[in-house]
Amino acid sequence: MAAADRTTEEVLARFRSLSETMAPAAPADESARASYLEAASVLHLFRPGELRPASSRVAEGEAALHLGAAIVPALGRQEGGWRTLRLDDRREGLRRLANRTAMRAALGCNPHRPRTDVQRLFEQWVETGRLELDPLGLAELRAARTLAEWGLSDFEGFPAKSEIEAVWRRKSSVGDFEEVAETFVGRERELAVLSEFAGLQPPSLMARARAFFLGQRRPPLVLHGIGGVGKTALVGRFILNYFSDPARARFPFLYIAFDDRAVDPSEPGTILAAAVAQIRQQLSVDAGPKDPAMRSLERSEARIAFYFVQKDRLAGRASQDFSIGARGTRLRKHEAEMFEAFADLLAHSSRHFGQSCGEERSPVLFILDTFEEVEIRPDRHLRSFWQLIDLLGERLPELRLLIVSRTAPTSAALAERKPQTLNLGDLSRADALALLARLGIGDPGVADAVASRIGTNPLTLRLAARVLLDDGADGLAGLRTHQYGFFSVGEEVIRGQLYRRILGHIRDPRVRQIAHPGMVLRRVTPKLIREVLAPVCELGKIGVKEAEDLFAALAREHTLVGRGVGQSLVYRSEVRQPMLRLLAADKPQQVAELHRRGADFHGRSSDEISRAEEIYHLLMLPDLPRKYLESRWTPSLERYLAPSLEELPSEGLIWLASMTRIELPPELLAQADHAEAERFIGREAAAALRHGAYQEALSLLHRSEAAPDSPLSALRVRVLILLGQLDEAAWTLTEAITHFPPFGTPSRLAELHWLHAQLASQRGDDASASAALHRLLPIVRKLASPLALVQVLTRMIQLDGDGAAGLKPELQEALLALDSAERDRERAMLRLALVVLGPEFPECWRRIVPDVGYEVVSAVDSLSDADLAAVGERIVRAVAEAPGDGAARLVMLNPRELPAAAYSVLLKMLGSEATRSAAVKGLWELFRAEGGGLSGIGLAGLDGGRAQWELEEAAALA
Amino acid sequence: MLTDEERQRVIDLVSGPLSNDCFGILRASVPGDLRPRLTATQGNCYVLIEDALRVCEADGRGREPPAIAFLLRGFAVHAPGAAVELKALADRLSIRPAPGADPFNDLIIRSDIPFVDREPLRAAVRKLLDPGAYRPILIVNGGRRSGKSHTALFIDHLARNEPRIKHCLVRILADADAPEVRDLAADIIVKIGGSARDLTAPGSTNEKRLPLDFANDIWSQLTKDIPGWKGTWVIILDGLNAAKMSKPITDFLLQLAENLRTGLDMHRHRLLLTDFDETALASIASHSSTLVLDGLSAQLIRAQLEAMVKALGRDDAAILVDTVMAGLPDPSEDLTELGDRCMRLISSIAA
Repeated sequence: MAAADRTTEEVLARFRSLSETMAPAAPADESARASYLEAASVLHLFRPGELRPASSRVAEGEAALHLGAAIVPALGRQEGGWRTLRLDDRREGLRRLANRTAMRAALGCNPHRPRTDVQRLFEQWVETGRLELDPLGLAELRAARTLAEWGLSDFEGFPAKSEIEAVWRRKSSVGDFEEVAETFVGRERELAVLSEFAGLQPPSLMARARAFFLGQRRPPLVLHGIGGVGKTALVGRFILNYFSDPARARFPFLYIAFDDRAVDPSEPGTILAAAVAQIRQQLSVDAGPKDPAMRSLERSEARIAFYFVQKDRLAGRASQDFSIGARGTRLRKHEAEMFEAFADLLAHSSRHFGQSCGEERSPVLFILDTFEEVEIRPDRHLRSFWQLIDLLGERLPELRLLIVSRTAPTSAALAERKPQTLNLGDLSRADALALLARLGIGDPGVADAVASRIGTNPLTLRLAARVLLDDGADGLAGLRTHQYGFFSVGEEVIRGQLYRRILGHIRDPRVRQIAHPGMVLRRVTPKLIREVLAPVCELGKIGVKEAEDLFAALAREHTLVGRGVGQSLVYRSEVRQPMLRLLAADKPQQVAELHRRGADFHGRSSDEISRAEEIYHLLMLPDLPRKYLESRWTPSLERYLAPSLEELPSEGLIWLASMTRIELPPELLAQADHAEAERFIGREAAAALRHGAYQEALSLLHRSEAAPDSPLSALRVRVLILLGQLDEAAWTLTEAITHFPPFGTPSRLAELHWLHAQLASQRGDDASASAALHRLLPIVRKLASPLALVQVLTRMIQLDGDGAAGLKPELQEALLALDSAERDRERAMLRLALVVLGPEFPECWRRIVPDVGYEVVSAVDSLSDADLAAVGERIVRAVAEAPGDGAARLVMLNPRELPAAAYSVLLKMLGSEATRSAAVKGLWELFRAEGGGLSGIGLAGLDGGRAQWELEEAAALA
Repeated sequence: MLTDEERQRVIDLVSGPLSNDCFGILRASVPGDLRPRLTATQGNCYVLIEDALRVCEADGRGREPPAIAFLLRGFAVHAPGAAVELKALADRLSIRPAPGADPFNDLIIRSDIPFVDREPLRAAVRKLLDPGAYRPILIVNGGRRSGKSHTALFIDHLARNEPRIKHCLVRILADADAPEVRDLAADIIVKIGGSARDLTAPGSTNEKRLPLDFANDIWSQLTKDIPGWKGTWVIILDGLNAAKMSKPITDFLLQLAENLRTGLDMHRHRLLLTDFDETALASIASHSSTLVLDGLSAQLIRAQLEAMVKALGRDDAAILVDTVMAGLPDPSEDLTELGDRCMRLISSIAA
């Protein structure tokens, strides 16, 4: 029967009947449900079809039927069909069992249960009736938290939930360090230095005198040492020493590692976002919601969120700030407020932790790890970062900034802060012997001989231990060491030799061959073994299976390789980098051939990793194909290539630095070609602009003779306008437009004309502005994106008023031609364009508003209550005559509620033909209240003609 | 065709009764011409049932009744205790959806689930799925039972109608154990075609890096190209609200979002977070949009339902909608009851 054929009564009768059958009913067999529930409640995971009920009188295989919605999927265990119980049902099941004896019996019904951490800990408690929390590791503590959620704290012998939470919070805040500190030995002197630096140990007389002169403030401490020497392990041990003992005084500490992609030193907000999450974890151990530190934490979190929203908004055109300068000033104000709120949070945290151990304040330890990633950036990009550090230093005498880096401090900015340094080098002899013992060299005589022969560098000792364990006591024979002849042999060379021995140990000679010289490749896959490594490493032609076997064998060499993304292996950098130098000296032709073939291989794919590897290999070779490299470049590749900076020859390094924000020493900068130099200057000038250093930006731009169609020409004009040097700006513009090459990029010419119009407006010469826009109009009509046309027409209509009304149909057409991404990107400018277009184009409003309108609610937030009320009145008047209850829903509203309610009502009215015209009038009033403008901003829609660096610096240049 | 919850429920209901001769019964319950497509022939009964469901769901609505309804009725014979439930589900899946010109505008998704109003949500999802989307992350929040989780069903509906869309949904239930980051990552990677074994093994890196490596593993799986397919992948995480968040999960999400929005395939990767604490991703706010769902007025629901019922070929829409809406509050903040009633009405009209 077709749907339309049923009578109304038949449909309604069926509807009622379904309502009755689908209403939740009590389970048919309560005892079967109870039996299944009891069996399931003692199992972390189970498969319903296999679950055996607690009572043998109940039929098996019907758990789903009797437990119904109590069964839920076990997150992360879908592959095996595992399920778990809803918490409420589990608690009910355990309450029914009532005691451990009954629980043990229930466990016996399903002996083949998965032994997850939760299951093991549960059964341990069932067996013993107690659970000690302090010896538990993090994974077990997580399991204990889950068991507390099951309601076990109501049973005898199981710790209270609050007790578990307290231990969990204490341990989880330092859990990240447990593993890195595992093989840590000795370093008593360095630990003492850290304790003294952090103010946790009575200082020496000299240090006390120094502290007095410095007003208790301490300059940063830079802990540096080569990769793998144990810097993070030392810091981890130091933190664990304090936090694993609940009796010791606690203090707030922040740990930020710059190899974390979510943290960007040129955007300190990302550092603060990570930092407040750590402070929250630490405060939550004992601070209640009304604690001043907790309140300060909430303020800081809100400030960070507000800053990012504002940053996003200010990057758009047509904001209420009319120039790059004004927007930059506003953003810096929000940034400063965010920094202040964070400093306030640290001060409150210092008081909170201090008071908990009877002191007024505690030290605040701020650890910045992997700082070499910061040091490779130009200081100009790190201004905000250092402002933050300086502000914290000023506000917080208790701040202890510990910088951890592979390299000794090199940047001028860090040097200005007069840091102390602590070089993490060789171990003491006793520590070296202890480390060897921990690594399995049990014979003290052998250990002593090793330390005498190769020194006490921990990284070298680890390698030596590996060689000795493989080869026995003779493993180090013939090694060129410190005592070799008359020359001192560097640690790196010793390590290189040790690695060779480790390589020599690989049993399968073919695996040995692909590792050496194959580690020229940073990344290895079975396909690479077959197509690149096998031919060059003299294995000849090999099949797919053989390549996979070799890959698997190489994967077992944990000293050399770790797992990379996908099915790949990556060489450990501390192994590869010293070996690479030896290889380049020993086998230059094979190395070059591997780079060539590696580039060819990866050049056949377009994914990100392939592009990064191809570019790496090309940068290692002479005669850079610059144009080709640029065509393969995308900004996200920086993270893949930055770890190999030290390997690159000068030419490759200069090119890479010009594409990224990596600092180059002046001697290399001088070798850059014109395009590379332009990119460097452009980026640096944009960074200076972002921080309001206009004169500095101008000086940078004077370094290069920019062609009229160079992005630097337009940038120079903007900076001159910002500096108020309007005559020079006008002259520069005229020169650039006059000499613009006939086949130059049209979008660049459009930008110059737009700036001309802007400059004229700034001088109050609307006639010249209008003339410039008329010259610009035919150019933007031909650009790929209609955004520029929308912006130019909007400005023309604004300037010429009724005289330009004839342009409105073209503005409507351009607005309708925008795609969704373009609308999304320039929402504020498009709201302004709609206001200028006016309510007489309702169809255009209907199609554009849903994409650009919603943020008007927050955009009018800054209006006073009186202004908002006036806007509300105008909107109500606009919709008063429309059918429906739109107007009625808006009267009597609090002015602060009005924008959101009005937007919602008007948007719905916009959808109906009967109410559309009134809705557009109301929206026009609402958008008009935003008060955006187009003065002093760049021209939208030119991205297609821009260089990559301009796109990346868009926030500074919009 | 089945929601994730329905699929799991069916597996749970029949795996016990079928366990004696799982493959034999499955073979007999699948339409004959689809039998060669069964890839799992032995082993875990759950895997076999899942495979049979997949094969029948993939067959779509190409036959009458649809293969999935045929299979469920076959199951009902062997699982008499669950027969009523299985048959009811088979009936619902037999309803032919009213053809719509644009799946983004459909008022009924799948064949019996209403999706009324939600214009801002439709617009936001359309924008999210645009290949040139400026913001690849969408956060959908709202009051309890305001329809946030329905967003996933809407994406599922779009994916069935638009071959350029693939999606995976991970739902974190309010009344279940708090998720661990590994479990969350494992669920995602399995649902995008990988295996939990593809995740970085514990011990091969430190605890701090582990969540970041999980995010990289997922991104790596996503970028494994399906030959010839260049569509959009949407990862939907539902229910990761403040109560279910932890620092490792925040780290994982930040890295995942960073990978998805900056990678070479960024125009193909989207993240949709429903019932989510947006402050956890404050530092990438400029790459996300947030939508807050509010209640629906009775007037609006009525208009939309009438349009929906008319589209099913009825000219007595006003009377039928009166019955559906009897006793509902105005505005409706909790849409669960409305959704259930609409589902029954659609079944009553179309079954």
